[in-house]
Amino acid sequence: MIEIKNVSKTFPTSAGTFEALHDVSLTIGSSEIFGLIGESGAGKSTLVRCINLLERPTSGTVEVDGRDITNLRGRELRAFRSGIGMVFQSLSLFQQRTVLENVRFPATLGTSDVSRLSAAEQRKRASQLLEVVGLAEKAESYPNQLSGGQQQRVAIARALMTSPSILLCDEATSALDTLTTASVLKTLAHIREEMGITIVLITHSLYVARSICDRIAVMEAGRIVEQGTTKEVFEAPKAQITRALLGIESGEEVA
Amino acid sequence: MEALTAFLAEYGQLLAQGTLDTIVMVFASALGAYVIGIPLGVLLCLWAPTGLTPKRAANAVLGWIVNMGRSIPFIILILFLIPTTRAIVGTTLGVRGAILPLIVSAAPFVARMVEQSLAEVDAGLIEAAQSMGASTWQIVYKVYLKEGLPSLLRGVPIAIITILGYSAMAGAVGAGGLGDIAIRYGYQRYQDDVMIATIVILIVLVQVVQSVGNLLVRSLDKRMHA
Repeated sequence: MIEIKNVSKTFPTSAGTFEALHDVSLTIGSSEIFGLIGESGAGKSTLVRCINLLERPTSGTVEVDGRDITNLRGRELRAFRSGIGMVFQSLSLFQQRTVLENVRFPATLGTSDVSRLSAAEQRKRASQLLEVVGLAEKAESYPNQLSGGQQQRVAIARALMTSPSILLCDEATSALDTLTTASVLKTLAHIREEMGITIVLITHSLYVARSICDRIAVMEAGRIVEQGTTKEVFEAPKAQITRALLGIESGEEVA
Repeated sequence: MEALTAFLAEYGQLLAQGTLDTIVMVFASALGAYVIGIPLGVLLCLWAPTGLTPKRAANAVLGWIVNMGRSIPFIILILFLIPTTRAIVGTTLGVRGAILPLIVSAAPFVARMVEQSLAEVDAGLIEAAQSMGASTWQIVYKVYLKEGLPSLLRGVPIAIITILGYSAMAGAVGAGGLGDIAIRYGYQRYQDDVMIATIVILIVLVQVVQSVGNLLVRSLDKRMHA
């Protein structure tokens, strides 16, 4: 379970400070697929980065499974981060390593239980994960020999290497076409079924939100303006921005 | 043909020794320059304002030292370093006397090239490694140096060829090698044939260094296997 309590985040800029998050509180349950939607600059990315402390909240606390992680540093922070997988929008595979070594990479950092396995056992686990994402035959390829969707599925396998309890997806499907997006979403739904992992997913695509999320929060200007089950939000949007988002992207359905 | 045979009979030995001296001088200096330049380049990259561990003051001081090293013309540096070279190496003459000034001169240049190569590594990869719990040191050797390797290797022939140029100047003050031969025979004794021979050898050296470098990059860069 992830509990975000009164989190604010400000960045210094040349024109004073910019408040990326304003007093955000949010609870995400275990094994939930939770969607964050909103326009670019609404604070979705910053909020998700507060969960693994790639950004540190200016005020407020973040608790993961009942533990306040807001002030973790050094070795403790690294061990905590290894328990949270993350998939990015940009293709973030290591170009000079094979697909298999990419997936194994988190185990080589010495921060999690899988680090204690022998190299051969780590590779075995990595190939099993490649099977989960349907790319077992690509183990010895290099990332630039793969399509964008395949690379993203490898990134998902890599994020799962340390058996994390949480998977963060920052616009993981935004650079992909519709069909590829569908295959990546299927992979995500599949691993939630298999592993009971919590998935927090940022998207600007209502299609993505609707097809996979259990619950959704809508963000605007650093605040959460609406949240509920996917069904509630889509069928009875309350906030103006939600209606605008729905209207822009799927006008005929709303009308 | 006869003229060539006669020329080689007279100067072959000299040119061969000069070539060997140049090669030893240049490669030993390049090795030394990289031993110093890689850590400096890594620090410049990490401490930069947008780096992984920004350190404003330390970065400014290091950058200033590196720039200072680069702004002294080599011919002046080698003279300036004479007392230091004598104290450390024991002589300022020959191949041994030239290596220290060549390292001092090339290391800042190599540091800047290393910094540049590492800065080219996609910031997304650094963030991904951070999100997995990698430490700064792990990010340096598992991400920066590994992913930056092709670019680092592309810099090596540039560094070697630059040092080759410096080494000819070192020849002017008693370092030996092809530069020394070109100056003593080609310039001071008006022997154009010797001058041309040294130039031809230098051209061949540069071509070989660049071709081997290209070959290495091509065989090691995994992005080209597609």
